[in-house]
Amino acid sequence: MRMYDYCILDFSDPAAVSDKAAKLGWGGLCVLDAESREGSKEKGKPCIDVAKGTIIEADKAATVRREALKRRRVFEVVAVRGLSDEANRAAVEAPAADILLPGDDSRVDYVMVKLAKKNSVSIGFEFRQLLQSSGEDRSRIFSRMRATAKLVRKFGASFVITSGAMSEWDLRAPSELIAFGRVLGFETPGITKAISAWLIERNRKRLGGKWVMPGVEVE
Amino acid sequence: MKLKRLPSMREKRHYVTFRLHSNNPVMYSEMKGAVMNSVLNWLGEGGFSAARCRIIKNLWDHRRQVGMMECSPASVDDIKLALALVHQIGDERVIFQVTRVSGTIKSGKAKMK
Repeated sequence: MRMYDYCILDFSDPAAVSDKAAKLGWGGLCVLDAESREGSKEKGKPCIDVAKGTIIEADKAATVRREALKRRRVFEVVAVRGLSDEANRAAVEAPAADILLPGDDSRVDYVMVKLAKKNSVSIGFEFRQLLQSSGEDRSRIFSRMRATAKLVRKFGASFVITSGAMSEWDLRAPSELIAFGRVLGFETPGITKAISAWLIERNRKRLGGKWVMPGVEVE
Repeated sequence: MKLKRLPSMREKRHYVTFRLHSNNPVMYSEMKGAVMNSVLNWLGEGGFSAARCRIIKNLWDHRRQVGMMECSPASVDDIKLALALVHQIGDERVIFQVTRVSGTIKSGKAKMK
């Protein structure tokens, strides 16, 4: 099974970054924020599949809704990092969004998890938040992640586990992210799905032009 | 001769084989310090003693930057996570990649080749 990592990479050198990801065992990368970090064509092509994603960072609900609808038609993955609880709520209410990446200080409650399940929005767990923190901050972030994971398990919402890497040195191998998911309390089959390509494959099909709505396709 | 402990009472161990990705080779002592510090930070002193983890010195391959560490089966995921949390050794940016978790040193060594 092909495994994808969702990250916000500095993608100026696609060959080097994708080579590092391939060495770590990734089948593909989904580069969020792809519009502002276009790879330089002179530095070579990536050796693995790279999906084009986008990340919306906003603190207003209206901005999240508007941007999600606008970017849905262009990008394969639309992620939202809500900078306020209001923005997070708007992300899970908008079926146009794919992933909600809660910020360091934002809390995800049971109402949001239920809405995420209803609107097929995945809750994201970023390893980078632990990697770039230490001591008390790290323990606070991890405790918040565990609380969110507990709600995700309880209501059966979908989730993704990502490295959230900002540079090639923040990337981690799939087995480490599986261990991260297990420490959060998830079961291995669920974690394997969380790092698999299902979201990208679904969205590529939808962007293909033949998809009308769930269950309806033009031949 | 009377056995001090029955073989069936021996505590089980797992062996985590890892590869270190970095631009320049890292010395064993630096690597050991960073790993043990990370495990101690992640698990705390109580968890660290329960994990019974140690790095097997003679299995560290400096040239290929691969090594093996021993831990209790219950703490394998925490050890993997603690390894993943190491991002810098000295001035060197690093990535630890767990290549295999095995029940014996022999089978773990096979993956190191």
